[in-house]
Amino acid sequence: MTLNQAPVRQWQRIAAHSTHHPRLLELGFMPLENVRVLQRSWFKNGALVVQVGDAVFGLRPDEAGQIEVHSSNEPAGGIATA
Amino acid sequence: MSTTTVDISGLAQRRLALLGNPNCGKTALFNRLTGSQQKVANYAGVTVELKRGLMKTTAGRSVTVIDLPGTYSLNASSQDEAVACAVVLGQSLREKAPDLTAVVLDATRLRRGLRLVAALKRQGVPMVVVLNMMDRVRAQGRDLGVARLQAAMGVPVVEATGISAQGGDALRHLLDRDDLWHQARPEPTALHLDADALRTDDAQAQAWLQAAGLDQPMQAHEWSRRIDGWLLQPVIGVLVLLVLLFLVFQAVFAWAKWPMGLIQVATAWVSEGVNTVLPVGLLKSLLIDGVIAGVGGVLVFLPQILILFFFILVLEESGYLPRAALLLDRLMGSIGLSGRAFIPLLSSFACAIPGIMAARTISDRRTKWVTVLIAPLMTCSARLPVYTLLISAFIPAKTVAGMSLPGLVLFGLYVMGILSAIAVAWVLKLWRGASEPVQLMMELPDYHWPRAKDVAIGLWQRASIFLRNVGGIILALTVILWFLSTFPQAPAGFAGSPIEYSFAGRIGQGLAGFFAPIGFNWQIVVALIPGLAAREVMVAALGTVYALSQTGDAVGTALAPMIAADWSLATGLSLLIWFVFAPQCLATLAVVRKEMGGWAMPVGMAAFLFSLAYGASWVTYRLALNLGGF
Amino acid sequence: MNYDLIAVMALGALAVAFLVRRYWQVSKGQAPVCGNCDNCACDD
Repeated sequence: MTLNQAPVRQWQRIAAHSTHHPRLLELGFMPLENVRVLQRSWFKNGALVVQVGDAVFGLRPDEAGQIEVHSSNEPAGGIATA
Repeated sequence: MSTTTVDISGLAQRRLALLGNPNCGKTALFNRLTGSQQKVANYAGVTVELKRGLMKTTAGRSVTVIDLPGTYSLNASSQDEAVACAVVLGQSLREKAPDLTAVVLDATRLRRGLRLVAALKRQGVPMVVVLNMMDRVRAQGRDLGVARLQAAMGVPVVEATGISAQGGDALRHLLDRDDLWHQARPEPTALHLDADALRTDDAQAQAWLQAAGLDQPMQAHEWSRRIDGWLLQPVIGVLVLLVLLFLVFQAVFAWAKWPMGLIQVATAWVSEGVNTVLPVGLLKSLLIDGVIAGVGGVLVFLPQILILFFFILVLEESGYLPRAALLLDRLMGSIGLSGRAFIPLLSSFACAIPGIMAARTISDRRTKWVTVLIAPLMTCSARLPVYTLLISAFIPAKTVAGMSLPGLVLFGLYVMGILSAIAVAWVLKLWRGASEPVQLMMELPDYHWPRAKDVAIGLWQRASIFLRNVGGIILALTVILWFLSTFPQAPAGFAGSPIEYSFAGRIGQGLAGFFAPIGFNWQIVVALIPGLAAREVMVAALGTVYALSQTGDAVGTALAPMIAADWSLATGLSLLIWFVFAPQCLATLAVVRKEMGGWAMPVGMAAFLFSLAYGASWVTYRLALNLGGF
Repeated sequence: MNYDLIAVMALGALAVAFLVRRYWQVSKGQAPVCGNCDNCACDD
């Protein structure tokens, strides 16, 4: 699924093959990173609040929709988060 | 021959650039190092321009420090980021390459910052690494083991805390090392910045962290998460935002009453003093009707401006603004902008100029253009004296449902400015047709308590800017206006007020015909002209014009009752609405020309806003006349 | 001598001189158009 479809407050892992805007990569949305949606807007096209590692971003649904994720079982562990 | 090396390189000023992610505290560190009082929040919360300052190392050497706009990578996606990258890579045309770059990292978000370090290292840029915000790390009871990180990276690393007095000392000490300053600058090689390069940089960053034993996650952001749980909740968040805004406007009126009264009393006292001391004549008139009536008329609004700025500063410092931007993103998207345009637009409430400059953070050219166009519709603080004057003259000081009516009207005027901006943006969106969606991708930095000292410094700066303007341009224009309103002097036996005989009076009466349909009398027209230089001058000009219109010894009479007696309510309302849309002060137009390049935009803007103002005033005037027979 | 007129003309001349100097400085890029550099923390 893509990030904008992810359930709220559940950690996901960015898919290794996800191809999204390079800018998102620079912000920290790298493959295999832990990510989760913190807030959803009530509007269909409203911005999402997303946490990737330690940083929090506001993303539009179409931006979040570029990021492929699958659910992971453990929260940010191992290597220090982005 | 003895080989005493004469260090001629020390004669050239050493140059250090501060580079880093947005919100890593670079600017606070810059202030700490240079002792400069540049406002940390910069009205917009973002650095869009280079700032230069001078710092002293521990040994007393002088170093030029350059604060750069924040950037996430060397791949610039907006104008301000491009500036930072170009300078560091030695490609800037405006700024020589720095001798050394200090990469400032948020110590609570190391991995991301280290990616930037890795990219810079690949490019061979001479650098040191500064771990900033160490106070937050220590609050966690953590220590970062700087020595190990330094060993792993092969680059000098120091700790820093931008907000504490000695926070920059480690860096000052480090900069005394001569060897750091003699590193070779990078050759202008091709930048490798694609996704693969990013992965390489990330791998490098992770490797460093592992080698330094720093791979445990930092839990430094819990409070911010929790607060966001409420403030970003769709319904509660918007409610909080609206209530906040509303409270600000009530406060601007309620809190200002007492200090404004004080200033008025002081002004009247000075006026009376001059009146008793000087004989009747030109000098007396210049001082009382010109300087005191004019300048005093503007000075009285200082408390309100400060109260408004107090709230703006507190909101900025607390980190709340990006949240507000997020809540409004949907709305902004519907008019063709993104939440990113919010912060430049909000800055415009202080002054349109920093707001327009803050639009450099918008990567999309079309959005930037629209943002610059509508920024002036945001009620800038210079309009506040005009609004307050008119409101106190024409709106009764009643309380409606527990809220002060003047405060409500002021709020309403601000809302009108915002709505008109939205309308203009929406029309532009329709006219230009659907285009690619605009980027948001906005980081939400941690919340932190606004520091009283920073807010106080910001207010102090604002007050001194205001007073300097008053003592400078406003005073000068008021004096000149007095001249134009006094000469040529009316002959004895001239029926009517002497000012009508003067240059200013004649100009005003000449133009009055054009403005009559919207209810402006010639005094208003005369006052509008110097108002082009600065909005506040309008109030000073009215003060002078009306003081000179008094026949008799009415000294120190406040302006508001005078215009309330002279103008109809319809005229007052019409002028109020005029100012919501009125064309910019010349300074703003000049900045727009500089930012957008060329005259087309500022001239077009001025013409457009003039027509909008005229039309809106006309509608208001006709409505007020017909509805109330005022 | 009309001291009154002289005093007033002197003050007027000062005002004009101030504005002219301002305009001159701005057009040479030495002073900000906005009134104060702290406004935008520009690098003048």
